[in-house]
Amino acid sequence: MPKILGIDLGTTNSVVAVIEGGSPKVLENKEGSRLTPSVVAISKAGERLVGLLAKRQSVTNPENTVSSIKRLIGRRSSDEEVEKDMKIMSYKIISSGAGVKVVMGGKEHTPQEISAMILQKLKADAEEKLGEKIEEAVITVPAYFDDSQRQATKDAGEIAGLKVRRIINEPTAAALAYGFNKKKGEQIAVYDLGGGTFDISILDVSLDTVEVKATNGDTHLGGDDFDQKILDWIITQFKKENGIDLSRDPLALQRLKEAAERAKIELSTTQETEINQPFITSDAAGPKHLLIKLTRSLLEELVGDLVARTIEPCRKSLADAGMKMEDIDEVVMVGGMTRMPLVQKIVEEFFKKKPNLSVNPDEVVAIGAAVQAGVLQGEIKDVLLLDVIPLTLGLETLGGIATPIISRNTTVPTSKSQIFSTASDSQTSVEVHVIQGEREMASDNKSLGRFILSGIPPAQRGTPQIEVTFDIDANGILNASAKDKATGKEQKITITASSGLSKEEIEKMKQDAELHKEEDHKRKELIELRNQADAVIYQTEKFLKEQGEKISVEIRKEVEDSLANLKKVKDAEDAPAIESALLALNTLIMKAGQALHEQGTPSGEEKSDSSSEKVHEGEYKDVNDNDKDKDAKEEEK
Amino acid sequence: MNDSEKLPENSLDSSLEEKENLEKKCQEYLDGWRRAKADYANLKRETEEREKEMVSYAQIRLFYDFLRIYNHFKRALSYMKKEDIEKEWVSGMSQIEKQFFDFFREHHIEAIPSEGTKFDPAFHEAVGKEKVDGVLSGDIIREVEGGYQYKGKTFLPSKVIVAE
Repeated sequence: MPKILGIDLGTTNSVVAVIEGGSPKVLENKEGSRLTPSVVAISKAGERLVGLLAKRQSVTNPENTVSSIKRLIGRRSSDEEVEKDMKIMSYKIISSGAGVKVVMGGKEHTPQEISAMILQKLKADAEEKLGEKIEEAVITVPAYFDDSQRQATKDAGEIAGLKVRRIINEPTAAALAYGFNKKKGEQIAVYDLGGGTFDISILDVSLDTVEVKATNGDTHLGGDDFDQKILDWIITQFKKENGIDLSRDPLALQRLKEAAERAKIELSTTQETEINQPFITSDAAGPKHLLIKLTRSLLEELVGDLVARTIEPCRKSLADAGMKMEDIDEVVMVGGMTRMPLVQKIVEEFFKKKPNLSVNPDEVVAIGAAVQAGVLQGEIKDVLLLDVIPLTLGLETLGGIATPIISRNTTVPTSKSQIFSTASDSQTSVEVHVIQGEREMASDNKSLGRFILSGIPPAQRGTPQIEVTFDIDANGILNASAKDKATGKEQKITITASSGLSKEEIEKMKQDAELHKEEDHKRKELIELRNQADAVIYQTEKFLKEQGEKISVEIRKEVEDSLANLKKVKDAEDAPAIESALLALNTLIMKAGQALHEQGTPSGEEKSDSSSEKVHEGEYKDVNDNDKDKDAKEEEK
Repeated sequence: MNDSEKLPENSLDSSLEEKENLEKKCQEYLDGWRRAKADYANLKRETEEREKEMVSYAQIRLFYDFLRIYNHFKRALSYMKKEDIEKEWVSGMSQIEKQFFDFFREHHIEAIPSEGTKFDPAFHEAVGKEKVDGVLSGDIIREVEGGYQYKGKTFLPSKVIVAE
């Protein structure tokens, strides 16, 4: 079945996605990039260029290079936007009847024809990438596009040889990418801050539709303006220090523009960056260099007013939709600029909600278009829409550690098994304590349920093989079971989805896990060390009992002293001391074993665990009265 | 079977219809399951291919960042005066430059020829234009920043001044 393309036909850049294996996937263009500049040109040689190649030659051929054609498509020549563009664009825009045309390569073209050229390249590159013909597409448009603009976009698709199955709104596509079309009765705000424009849309998700209730924005506010602020600051600083105005040096300016954009991007993930441009210019005295630090806080000062400019349209759109901030259930971020921490902070402060950022904001609209394409094609059916589990499911193991069985974000239905064993000799039952959460210690996670598997034949610790299986069905119901592989005895428990946590609790758990990550990790390491120490103490005592008389008194004394030392430090909070004592004892055990070998005596028993599967040894406590008393005492501590 | 035991006709028809619908649904689910299994197998294969692509992409990103720094080094060398050429430190810098060339060769990176060639957006990015007597329009007058290819594919176009 031929694929349907999902196309985000943007003002500055376009993105294409398809459904593959039930999930949307963004396609790279011929040049290897996921973004294709929405630029078309006729070169001096008469060759048509589209995308990156057209952009690269724009400086030498501005009058024949057409960009931002989306600003003109479907508009009348009398529109304010068109009149503005006629003054600022490098190419000629002329009135043609009620509409407009652009002049490129000496010929007149409608905006639909120019857009069709872009769509043709997107189609051709997608066909090459996928190895199959593409005949249909879903194309997105801004929510404020009127009928004429939508029809013109559809016409562009037809000219490009694409049957346009649907024209959908960009904010709707963004909501689809997050699956919010399933959130019936919810209101969603889509905050779109891209390279050149800002749009805010309020959506209402009802039974079978996603309706745009209101839209507002600023058609000339975007990432380019942020770059300009940084550029102006750099020029000012350099002039202060060197007395040279870099804005008069086109080549220096071009380098600084790129450096400014890079600095802006870096400051989304760091607190400080350095703009380092050696040999930026020269004068009579020789070459001049630029080396300047820019902090995030300074950047936020420089661009604060730009970010603030986005708030009033948000306020207006809420008012137009007849809603208050509290009515908004989800906020979706679109456009590269939404990666800026200040932008995220302002949006969260305004809507009093954490915005959704997990889908790449540069690609979220194309992904949503692909989702729509998938629905139309039947690739995405409600009955086949799959969920993921929000938090890790695991069980409690020796020392109170949380051992994960199914990681968070695993798609369900799914099933995972792991083999465990006993912690003590002759242990005849094990307790399976099912927990949910991201913390390293079981007690810090949510308890979902517990059960006991008994009737395990008495054996040396680590010998029994208990297979624990977690099986989650599509409804989120967990069936946890434990089976003794030797006897076939099995016990299980069923945990319904409602036994888990609410959305807010889930979010809190994730945040807590992040907050306590380091201390949890240290605690877990300490407990694992203690478990290891217990195992070595057990092995050493066994070895001394069985082989002690066969080794020399000196070596035996050394082993016993080292064993005593390990027992002493094991329960302290000093991980390095336990590690050191472990290493010392292991070394001595090896020495003793070596001595036995040299005497020609078998060095000890063979490893009892002959399973080929990875066995987690000693990870259960025997649940009997003595242990319960011991546990109670430990809890009291 | 007597009349009182016979099922009413419409009840039998609706049961048959329901059976047909259920069979259709079963087939649909079976097809979907098969497709999902096939998609999974394909995904495994594609993941392996993509991993190779990612490694290549990561390399290109590294080269890109590295070459920006090399271009600064080249710019520094361009400020060298004639009278400096005999100096020891200049000789050392030339040796460093040679190490860069060796690195490029080992990693299949090739410099894109610019000055004196015809402007081609597949390899060059125009950052300015100038009128120069005796130079044909469209010819590259000057390279502002070097461009490079990796295994024959342009990943960093040369930034050039083009004759008007």
